[in-house]
Amino acid sequence: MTSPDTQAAVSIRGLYKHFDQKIAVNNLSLDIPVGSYYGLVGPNGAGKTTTISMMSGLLKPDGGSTMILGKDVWSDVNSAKRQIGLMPQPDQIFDLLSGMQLLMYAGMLRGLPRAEVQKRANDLLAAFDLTEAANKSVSSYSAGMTKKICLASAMIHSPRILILDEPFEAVDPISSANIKDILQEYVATGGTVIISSHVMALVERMCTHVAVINDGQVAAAGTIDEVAAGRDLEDRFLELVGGRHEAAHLGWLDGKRGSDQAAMDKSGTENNGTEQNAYGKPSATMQDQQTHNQSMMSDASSLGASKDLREESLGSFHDQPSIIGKYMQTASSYASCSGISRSRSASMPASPMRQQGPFAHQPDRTQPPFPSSHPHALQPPRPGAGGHTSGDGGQL
Amino acid sequence: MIATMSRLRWSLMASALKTSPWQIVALVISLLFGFGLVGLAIGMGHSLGFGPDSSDDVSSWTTTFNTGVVSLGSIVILSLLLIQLTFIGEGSSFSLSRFANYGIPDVQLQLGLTAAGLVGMPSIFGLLSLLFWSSAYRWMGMPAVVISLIAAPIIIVTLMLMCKAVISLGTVFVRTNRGRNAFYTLVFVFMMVVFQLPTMLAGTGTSVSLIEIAQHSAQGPASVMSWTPFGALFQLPFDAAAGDWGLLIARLGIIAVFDVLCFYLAVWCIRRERLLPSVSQGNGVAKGLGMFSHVPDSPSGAISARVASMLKRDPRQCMTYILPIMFFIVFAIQPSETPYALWAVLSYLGLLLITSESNGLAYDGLGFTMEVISGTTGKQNRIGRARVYVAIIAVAFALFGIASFLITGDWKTPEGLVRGFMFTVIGFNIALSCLGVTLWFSTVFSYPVPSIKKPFSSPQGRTASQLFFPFLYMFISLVAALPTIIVGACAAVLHWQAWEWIVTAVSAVNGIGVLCLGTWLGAKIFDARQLKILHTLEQYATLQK
Repeated sequence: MTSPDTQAAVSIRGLYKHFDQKIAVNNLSLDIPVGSYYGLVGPNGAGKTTTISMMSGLLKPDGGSTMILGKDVWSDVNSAKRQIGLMPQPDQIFDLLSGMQLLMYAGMLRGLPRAEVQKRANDLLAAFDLTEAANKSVSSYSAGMTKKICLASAMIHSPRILILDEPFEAVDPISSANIKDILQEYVATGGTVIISSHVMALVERMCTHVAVINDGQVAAAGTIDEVAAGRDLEDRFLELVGGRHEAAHLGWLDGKRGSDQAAMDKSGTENNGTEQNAYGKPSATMQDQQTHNQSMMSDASSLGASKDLREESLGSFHDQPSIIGKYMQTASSYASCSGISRSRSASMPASPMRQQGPFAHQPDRTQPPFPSSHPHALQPPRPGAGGHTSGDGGQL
Repeated sequence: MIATMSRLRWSLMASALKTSPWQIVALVISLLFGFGLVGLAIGMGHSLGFGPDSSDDVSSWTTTFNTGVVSLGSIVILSLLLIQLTFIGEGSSFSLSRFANYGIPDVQLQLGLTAAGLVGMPSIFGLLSLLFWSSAYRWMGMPAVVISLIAAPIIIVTLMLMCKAVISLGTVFVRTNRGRNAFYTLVFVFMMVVFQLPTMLAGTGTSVSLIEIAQHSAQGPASVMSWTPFGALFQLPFDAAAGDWGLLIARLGIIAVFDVLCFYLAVWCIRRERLLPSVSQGNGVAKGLGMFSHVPDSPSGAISARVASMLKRDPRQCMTYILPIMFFIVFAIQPSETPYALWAVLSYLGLLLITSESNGLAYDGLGFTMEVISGTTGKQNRIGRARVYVAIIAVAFALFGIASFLITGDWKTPEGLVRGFMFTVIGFNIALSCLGVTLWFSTVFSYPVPSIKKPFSSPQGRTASQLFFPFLYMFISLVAALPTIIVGACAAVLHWQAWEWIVTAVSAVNGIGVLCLGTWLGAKIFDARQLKILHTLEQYATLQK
């Protein structure tokens, strides 16, 4: 292992960190040149955030060293932090403060005089188009606005190294362009920007250097051209990290009904109702719908669905939404199997929630969604054109 | 849907146990409370089931028993409903928003949510308690016992439907964060007053006997309550014992209608909430720099400004201000023969005033990350926080002192003036001592607190530590104030000349000394444990979800 580069903005050697049995960062070494726009890319769980945390003094490594502008981080961590501008995440700020107050807090914490902080805060608010929201609580900001105020709080003390985790996530294109211009100007003044991102196009367009991190190690690092090696950066990334496979064929995604719904239809045709459901079949009465629901639930139990859901529920508590989702998709599919007649739908109040569920909105299939002249209308395939049609499982 | 929701509830609880050992501790404590409640019901049911002694007037005993059961049952139900008001705002895993995307019909959804509530531990233990309580009617005959057994699950279902309706109504009508915070605070104050009422009444010299109340003054209200959903079900065994089957059926009819109303009210709330904009997250407009323009121009000043700004907007710490006020009021309305009684209260008001700061870093939550990112030192942090609380203590004791002067009338005499002033200063210095303890205590001991967005939710794993750590802090604070306490006790016992001045001087040295020592020690511990504190707060944040 070579000795750390004291001329680099950040020089990491042999960084190592484990959490219980999992090795998050495994002997990672990296040099980030001064004045570079450095992208850290990698799949989820690669160790990017852990590396950033250790680099910025938020997490003590189990081994290795990190130098910031030639100084070891852990020998004087507060001094190193003053050189760094780490963008906090939206849940890592005091969002009951106003935007102006948050920037004042961020600046004064770093020892800047109040008057200077106020001036810079006004400049940053103007640069990020947040002037009108300056006196509003950050908790009332949109996701993009919150991201911008977080970025502003990282920049207010004019650090030499900016470390940004997904800075453009949920930010609108105009604001993104403004932020990019600001960051480019910052790099032009000799600052170093380190961004972590999943958007390869962004990294390829904005960054001068990139490091691909996978399984806690650097798979490739260098300039964009060096890492891409003459290919598309995204393709190169996928080649380095692997894991891509052919798309699984999920037959039920084609919107056609399966055997269970066929059973529902058979039962539904036995009633005297003349209304048609959204699939053009005679709709069941309410009583039949409830009967169908009950039979569906017992069928699902016999198929072991509840057992699968029980096993799924033993996952992490952090996975609560997915636990609820698994249960609810089972339950709501029973409700939707019965079909909702147009008359019933028409009598129900217009409700945005009913439009959101995957099974809630039954489209009117008697009419085409768009006229053929509409830009979104499906066009018939051109003669001789490639591509797959539904049902043949063709490759992308 | 009912079965699905019920299984979901237990699945979520099972998975929650895997996140933290505190979850298991909380579960064990809940089970202990539950079994304790059941045990209490078994014991009381068994002992009361023997009925009146041969020497007792059976009619009077029956009336008293009837009145007591209906009154107590109604009070329990009303209290539980009052507690539900603090859950408004989606404090539960089973909040409506989690099911919004699935397009589940409203009636089915409400049925499922109600069923999920009925299979929870509180409902199960409540049902078991009521079933075992039925043995208290043994002496009244088999019909009373049977009716009580039948009424037990109906009580649980009725209570669940009422709770759902109350929470749904509150969620629909309180639509801003500021409104919710004010609502929570009002509800909490009301609850505190209600639960402290017996103490207050006892302190005023009003000698109350529950038996006397049940025999004389509660009969009327109980008989009215027996026709309301709150007390009707508790009256049923007595109707059965008296053979009043018509009245029994009428009461059951009232309950049935009420339950259906509650259910459809909750369904209406689901529909209503779907049409309303989401709860406004903003907490009002904060003009300009706010507190940041009134603090020293330094990192510690920034921390002071932030702490003060957050205290103004944080409903979780409202008890910091309410408890001492209530304590003061309780003692102020109590007559006392001792001239110093009210002044002596000032000596321990500081303990209550600073209790929340003993867990101050937990209230910062993940916002603490900004300080870690910025390289804030322990000294800056501790001084910044101390500055705010010294100011709060100063203002509080000035107000308490003025109020005490007015109530006691000591402002009229020079001796009274001196006495009042000294007690106020002593109380202030003891509060400084308590603050000094919190400044290092909070860097070592902490427990999870609710998210600021759900101030009265209960994060998992909080119960056990919340019971223990505040008492530990109070104990250590008392130890830290021992010099003042010992000198004060000696002065009172030995009748020292000019004892007020001696105790005041000792308290000043004690208070300021502990404050400085606590600030220094807290800064050292903060610097050494800063990352550990941050990681602990990250764990707490996961519990708040």
